[in-house]
Amino acid sequence: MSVDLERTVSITVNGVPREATVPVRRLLSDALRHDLGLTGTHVGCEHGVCGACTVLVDGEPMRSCLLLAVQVDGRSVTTVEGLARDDGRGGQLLHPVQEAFRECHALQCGFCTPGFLTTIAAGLDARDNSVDITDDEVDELVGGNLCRCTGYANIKKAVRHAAATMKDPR
Amino acid sequence: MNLDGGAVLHADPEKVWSVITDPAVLARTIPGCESLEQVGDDSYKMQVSVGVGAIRGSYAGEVRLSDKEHPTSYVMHASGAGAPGNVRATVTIGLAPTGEGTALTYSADAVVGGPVAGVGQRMMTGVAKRMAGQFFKAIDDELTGAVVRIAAAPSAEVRGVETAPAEAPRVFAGNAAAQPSLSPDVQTVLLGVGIGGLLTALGVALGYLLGRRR
Amino acid sequence: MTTKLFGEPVRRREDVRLTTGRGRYLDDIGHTALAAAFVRSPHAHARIVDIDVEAALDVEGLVAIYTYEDLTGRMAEPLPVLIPHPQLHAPRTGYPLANGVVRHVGEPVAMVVATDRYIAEDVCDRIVVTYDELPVVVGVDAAVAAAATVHDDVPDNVSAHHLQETGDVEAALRGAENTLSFTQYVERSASTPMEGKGVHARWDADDKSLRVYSSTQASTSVRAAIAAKLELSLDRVEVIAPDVGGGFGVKIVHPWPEELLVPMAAIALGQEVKWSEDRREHFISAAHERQQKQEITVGFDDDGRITALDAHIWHDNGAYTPYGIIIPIITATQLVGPYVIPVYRARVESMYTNTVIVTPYRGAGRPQACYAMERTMDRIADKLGLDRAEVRRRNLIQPDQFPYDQQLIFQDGRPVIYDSGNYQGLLEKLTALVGWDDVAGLRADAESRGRLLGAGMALYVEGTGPGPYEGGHVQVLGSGKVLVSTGLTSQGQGHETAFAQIVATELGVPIEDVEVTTGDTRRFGYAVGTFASRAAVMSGNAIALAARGVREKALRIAADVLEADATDLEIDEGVVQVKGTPGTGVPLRTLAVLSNPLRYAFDEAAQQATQFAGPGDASLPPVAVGDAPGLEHIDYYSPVRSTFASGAHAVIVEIDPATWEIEIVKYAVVHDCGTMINPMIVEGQVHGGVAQGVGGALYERMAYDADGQLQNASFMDFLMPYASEVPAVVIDHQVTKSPLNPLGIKGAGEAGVIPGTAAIASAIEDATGRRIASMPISPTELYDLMRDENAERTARGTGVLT
Repeated sequence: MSVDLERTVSITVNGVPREATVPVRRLLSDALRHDLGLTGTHVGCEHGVCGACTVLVDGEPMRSCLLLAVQVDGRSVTTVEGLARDDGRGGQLLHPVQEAFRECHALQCGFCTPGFLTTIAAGLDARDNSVDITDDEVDELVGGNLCRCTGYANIKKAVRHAAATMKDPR
Repeated sequence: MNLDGGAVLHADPEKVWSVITDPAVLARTIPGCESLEQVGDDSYKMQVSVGVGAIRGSYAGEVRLSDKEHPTSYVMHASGAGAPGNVRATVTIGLAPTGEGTALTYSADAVVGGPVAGVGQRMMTGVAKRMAGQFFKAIDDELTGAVVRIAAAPSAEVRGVETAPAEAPRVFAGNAAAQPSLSPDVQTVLLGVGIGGLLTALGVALGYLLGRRR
Repeated sequence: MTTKLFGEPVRRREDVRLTTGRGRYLDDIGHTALAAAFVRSPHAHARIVDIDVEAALDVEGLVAIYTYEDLTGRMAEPLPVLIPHPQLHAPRTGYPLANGVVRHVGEPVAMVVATDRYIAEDVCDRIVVTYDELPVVVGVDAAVAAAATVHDDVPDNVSAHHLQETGDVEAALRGAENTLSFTQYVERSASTPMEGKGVHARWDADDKSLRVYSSTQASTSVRAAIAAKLELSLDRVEVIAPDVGGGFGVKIVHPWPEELLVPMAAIALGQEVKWSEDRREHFISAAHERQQKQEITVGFDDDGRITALDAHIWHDNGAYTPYGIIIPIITATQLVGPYVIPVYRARVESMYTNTVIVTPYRGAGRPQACYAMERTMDRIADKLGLDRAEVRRRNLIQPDQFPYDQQLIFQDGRPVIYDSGNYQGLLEKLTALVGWDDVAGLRADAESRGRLLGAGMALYVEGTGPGPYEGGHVQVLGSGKVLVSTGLTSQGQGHETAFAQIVATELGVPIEDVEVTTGDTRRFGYAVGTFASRAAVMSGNAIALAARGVREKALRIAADVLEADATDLEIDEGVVQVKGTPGTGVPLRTLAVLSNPLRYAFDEAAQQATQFAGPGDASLPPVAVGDAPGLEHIDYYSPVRSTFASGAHAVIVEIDPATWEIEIVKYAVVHDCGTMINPMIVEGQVHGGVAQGVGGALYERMAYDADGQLQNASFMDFLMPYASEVPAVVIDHQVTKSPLNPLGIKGAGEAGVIPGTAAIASAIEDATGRRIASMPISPTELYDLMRDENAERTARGTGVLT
């Protein structure tokens, strides 16, 4: 039996340089979850439709089930575990979208949640939050991820809530 | 588990006997054989080192022969043990002349225990058949003159070959050694054939499992 | 003063970990485990001729390959029929690995174990199975025609003739002023949670015990099934449901083949083994539901009051019947809805087809029942030229008629007796909420924009909280922590929060001190499972009773300590004090220590409970007769019968007559689930249910072709609604408490999905003027229907792709 070709990849994950030696056919989703132990990213379909596996590659939301780990060698990846920031006092400062999801009951089983959080966080971080968010923008941010539990109503509410918080942090 | 099979060997039965009674041949055709040692009438100890890929393991086996009906059939009782498991088997072996040479049949009834028993019947019988096939191919190559060394235990020690009669323990070296041929010893022959069909299969299966351990 | 949290929209405790990637779902467990994968049948019906593993032996990393021949003892027997019933005359179940025959695409034939999943799949690809194909049955019509059979010994493909009747319906129909008959279909869909199924097993060879994690809705029963099939003593098996990424019913049937095979392999190999399915596997081997053909005949007077109703239904139960005839029973019994039906008969034929098994999906037969009843109401209204709300109003059970006995036998084996409700109130609130009386104006406005507009409504009654029971254990520790456990499971319903609210309120402790565990047989051994909207009703009440037991004991011990009367005491912020005198009490944590007389003090707090710590009464034993050490209590709630929630939905659709795209412009829900523990969670359940209802009405179908091949076994082709497909929902509530349980709760879990198909069909019919007799319906199908006056239903409507 032939030996799988393997590569050692260097990826900066959530700000930390990580290395893993993986078979070249290893999906990024599996590398994150099993080789690097970051199980926050979930796999819902493995064909790029549900979005639960969405991570940020150099800040851009991408389906980690449609990427090979070797494709992000040398790049930076942010997973749901990396959305919160260190508060400098040994604790964590959640991203406004994480707080908003809790506040607005925007998750039930939580399986699709990481994919929504990374996508929305990237979208909100990239926009000018001094301007009120529009319904179209909200629809755009939530339109590419599947959720079977919530019916999306509270997810949209959470996006508006997060945007408002980022406009006017208190 | 039950394992039935056979092989066609391209030589007449007399030639087959002379080759498979040669302990040196056996020692180098049984995959992974390190040594064969006669320890009593019809009874032998064998040390086999087998594996798949980079995985190796050394196993101790014992064999006893019975119900010999020269030259058509005999029964071999084998047992072997290693860390991942153990086996006890009864193998009935038959030899018959055919147009192509000799038709050899074997019918094995084995009880496998320990973790290796957990790999599933089809995998076990598949591995056993494959190893039996390898052994008989090697024998056949010896018969037709196309001797092929089977990768076994290259580092096995070459031990001296006894020419004295059977009182002294008879030990036969593994593949690395080139031995002068000896007078045919049916018992060693039969031993070798039986082991080839079964214990090496066990050994490789054990080797698979050993390789899976982490 | 502790705020009473019961009834408040408390933010969920579980969200802390779930929003930071610290959930623990099945595949997150067991990083060093071996991986299992399955060779599954590619044929809908075939005999297995040979299984050749030769080519697979070369794969580096292969550990084991199992087929039926490796199953021994009870594992070699068919999987259990979980719910037998006298009318289920021909139950059939599969084997954990196919025994010579496969009866649906996806049935497991061989299990492979390897060092990782990629390699296991490599091995599966190399295993060559030779089949002899057999004739295939797909869809209820083909099942009825029985030109081919799914099981050789069931020549008519019927597993059960389910019958419920309350009188001589044929005579009543003959005597009716008016009758009408019609036929309609609803197609197959599925739960499709975002997380598929998965099992992890670890065998401890030192103490000969098995621990299994499974993404299940019924861990207690899975434990019993594994123990029975693997012939282990029950006390040697523990089953835990970890965080579960959605269930919606598909994870209630058990034991899955995998739930037995993965532990079997773990024991045989002496190593941890894990299996998590991928999405395609889920489509072709996890359960489906919904497909039915319905023939309705109704008798009614000139005022539209029903005098007799006869429903003849053919239900597709897939290749096997592990769950018995629960869905047929639920359809038959819930069909009558909130109405007075003087004479009723339901005959449900449960039919075998060469497709995936059919077991409950949220609603579990109620959506189909609602579809049958509500579309009947629509047709009566149409026939008589009456308003559809008015016809319904005339048939409703009145508020003063409770308890109302429908004279049927429910899925719990007990009578269908509606305990409480106000259906009149639901209808009034609904018509107000959706603006039913304004529809004509809306229609004119839409017309001016070149669009068609229609409104539809559907009412339902939902039996929830069936027994036999659930239990609750509440325990106060010396640290002050309050442990709560119940045996049923969670898949996102917020149980960790809702049950904590109950205990915090009953016991008077801060909710932060309460920790809830569900679905872990190590913590609570007697349970049934999460289904039929029963968790709040059953475990909620059991936990409340357990908390009350703890409260009573705490007050009893405190009365001693404070030398007061127990009736003068209250518990506030975790402290027991004389009513209205804060600062003078004793904390619960201290009472917990004192409740357990000790010889050895393991820490300073424990010293208070030792033999020399205080004056004792030497004439009494330290633990009184009939008492027990510890500040804890276990209690159970076992209902005499189910409680009945209800609701009403109305939908307004606009249709573009050029593209026939159907847009839901308003979706109104009125909802009655009795007492609500957490209104925010209840609303979330409604939202989610509505999304599935909309999905089932307009987008979702399992597209089986006549060869039994599932053509759309992926999210690319099985249309799960994104946010863009789900309308905003306006919700109004009504509360009619259940008199059957202490908290007055009725279930809420399935409510949102039940009337969706009926209401949307009604609205589309109202908009287009065209009879809609099969659902779901896509724009293309609507277009075809509009062009063909003679078509009775859409081309795919019978459930077989042609």
